[in-house]
Amino acid sequence: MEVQLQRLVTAINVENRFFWARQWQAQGKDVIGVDGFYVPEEIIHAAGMLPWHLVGTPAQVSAATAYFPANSDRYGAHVLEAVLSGDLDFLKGVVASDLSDEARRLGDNLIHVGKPQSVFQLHIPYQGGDEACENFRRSLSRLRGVLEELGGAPITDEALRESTSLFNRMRCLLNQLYDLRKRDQPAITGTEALGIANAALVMPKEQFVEQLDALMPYLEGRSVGSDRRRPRILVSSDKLYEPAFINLIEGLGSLVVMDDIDSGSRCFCGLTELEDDPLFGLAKRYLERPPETRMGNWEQQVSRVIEWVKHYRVDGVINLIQVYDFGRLCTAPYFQNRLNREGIPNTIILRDYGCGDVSQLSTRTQAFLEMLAQ
Amino acid sequence: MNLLEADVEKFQRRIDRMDRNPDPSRLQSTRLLYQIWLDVRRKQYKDWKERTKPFVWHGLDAPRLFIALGVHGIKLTTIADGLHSEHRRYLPLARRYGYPESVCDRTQAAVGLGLSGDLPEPAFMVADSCCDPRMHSVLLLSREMSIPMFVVDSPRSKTYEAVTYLAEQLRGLIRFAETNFGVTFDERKLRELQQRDQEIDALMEEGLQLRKVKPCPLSGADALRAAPVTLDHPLLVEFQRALIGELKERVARGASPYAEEKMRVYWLLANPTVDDLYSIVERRGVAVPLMETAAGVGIERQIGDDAQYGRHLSPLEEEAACLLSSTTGGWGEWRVQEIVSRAKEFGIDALVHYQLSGCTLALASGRIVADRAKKELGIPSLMLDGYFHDEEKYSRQRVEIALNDFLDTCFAEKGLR
Repeated sequence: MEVQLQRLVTAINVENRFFWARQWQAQGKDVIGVDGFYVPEEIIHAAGMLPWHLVGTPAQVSAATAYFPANSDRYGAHVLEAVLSGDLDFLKGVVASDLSDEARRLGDNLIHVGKPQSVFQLHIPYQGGDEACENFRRSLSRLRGVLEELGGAPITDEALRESTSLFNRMRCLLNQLYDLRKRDQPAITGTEALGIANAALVMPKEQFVEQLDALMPYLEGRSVGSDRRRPRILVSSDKLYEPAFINLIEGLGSLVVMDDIDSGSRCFCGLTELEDDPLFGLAKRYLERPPETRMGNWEQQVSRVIEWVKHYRVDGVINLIQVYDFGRLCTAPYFQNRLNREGIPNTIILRDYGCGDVSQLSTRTQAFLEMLAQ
Repeated sequence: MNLLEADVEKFQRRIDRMDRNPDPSRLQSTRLLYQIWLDVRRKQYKDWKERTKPFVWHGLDAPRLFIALGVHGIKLTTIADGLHSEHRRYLPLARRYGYPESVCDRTQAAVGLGLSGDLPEPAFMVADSCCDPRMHSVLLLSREMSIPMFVVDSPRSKTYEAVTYLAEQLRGLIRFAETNFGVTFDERKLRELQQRDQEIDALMEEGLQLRKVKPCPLSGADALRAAPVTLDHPLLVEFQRALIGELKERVARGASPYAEEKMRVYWLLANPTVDDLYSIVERRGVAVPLMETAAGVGIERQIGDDAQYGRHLSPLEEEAACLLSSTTGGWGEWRVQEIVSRAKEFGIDALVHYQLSGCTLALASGRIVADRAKKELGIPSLMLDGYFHDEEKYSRQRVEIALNDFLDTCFAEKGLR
């Protein structure tokens, strides 16, 4: 079972992440890229297509620099680099969004370079509520139409309900997995947790659910503890697709027991209620689940982190911000002030998109951990 | 000193200077413009001292709505853009607070201004989703100062469905303001302002068309002049009329700041406050008839145009439609089409992209605009990295060399010197 576990943990690694998408394409089926965690993948899944979360190349950006200059969003640059280099040629289309200005521009640039053949730009409302949910529902209906045309087959309400149930099952499993991290001796490391959560982004959901489901009994009895008490850390970040960052933090003598990451805990919080109108149910789930920075409801996001600090007995919080992630950078003072008011030790550390030169990250993390130890 | 007080002194000084030393070579309508600002700032200062009218800090491009709500709307980035040496204080204030140095320095200045205490404290704040740094700067200030906030979501579409969605949110904003802050929305006032701006827009369009003349009758700085429609003042239309009259008179007598116009450029984004970059190109006979964010240059909704949606819009729907027509809040293709269209219309020879560091909208769309302009119009682009307010990071030498090298290349291709 340990082998199966590690296979899942490493699914997001560079050498593995394209495997399922290429296999899917080789079977004559369509793969649709997804940008951001507010695009309801259920609709893509219900179309019989593989939703594949856009993950960029961790290598140096070269061709994409013309479109995303060095002082702009690194995620967009790395994704575009992957597209231009041909790494993502298995994509038939992309559902881009305006989750941020940078995401908006990623979609614009994909259209401009003409790869992949179909790019749908989805507006994500900035709040929940009936009006916004209804507006989002209409946008999702248009997306459904585009996918039906692309796939040449209708997406039935029944298919949507089935996909929704599957995704709910996946989210429940991931929540159960994360609960195992509350223990004094968690069942998995932070590296493993993020690896598993990220695996769901690049695998067919049926396979992911089956594999994780089979692993859960094994994980219930597993422990990564040691005699030495290590500082328990919560890492907060966005667009962190390299568990190697978490591995680095843990390698310095800590245990990352929880995360506040869009590709980690935030992507599987909140289930979809199965409504008469499945699209409205999806709209409601995606807009009204616990928020991200861009939704403006910062209080909720930070309050959740504060709750997790208590539930997971966290000693310190690392706000690991990707350079030029302007949304995250702008909210950092608020985030820090709130944690400070609660007496929660925290630090802000900048990182690159890929886990290349990590000397600064190592130094600052080490300093933070030493401070916690005092 | 409160900024309103400082502005009262500033505009009075400018008027006194003009009266003491009249300069017939300058636009005379500028005196009326200063008088308008002086009157407005005096009223705002009085209302602030006597607490007779609430102030609202915002990032929403809907000045008529705030006036009709009976509040003084203060768009932080716009106010910050109008300042100069003050940024030496505001930028460090924002950065010491923790606001990132890598984000656009227009919003850094806005945050610093907000934290400084130099503005009247707002009753509430309004953020909109057109531009992330602008939105986040308002959200951050509202939390830091514990001021209630309202967020307006732009649906990034120009359909009637989008108009009604946005109009409903503006109704929500009105309800929020009326319920919590004792103001009353005056729809008749909104209509009146829309009619006023219809007239001003028509005059601005006349002024814009004048810039097609070669040599361009306006310097880049003069091309920026327009009635400040963010204000509520009875003489705004008169000012715009006087301004257009002067410009037409200049054209009629063949006056131009350029002895010879060798080429004309479209300045994208804006001219910074740290320097007058137009002077670098203008002294080489290069006109700047268009600047992307100047009033009237954007191809925006014609107020009262019933044909666009096949129906007459209500006043709030009109506001929503105007908001949706701005490329800032739209997809990249909106920006590209607007720039390429205007460039073609005005016979533009080249684009200068002043790529403001940290501008989330311009940085990753510049290449798209440049490629399309080259493809559709055959015109080249210069990508110029720059800052708006940050004197320490800005390098005149670097910018000057880049601009001159670019112009040399353009001139060579045209067989000019």
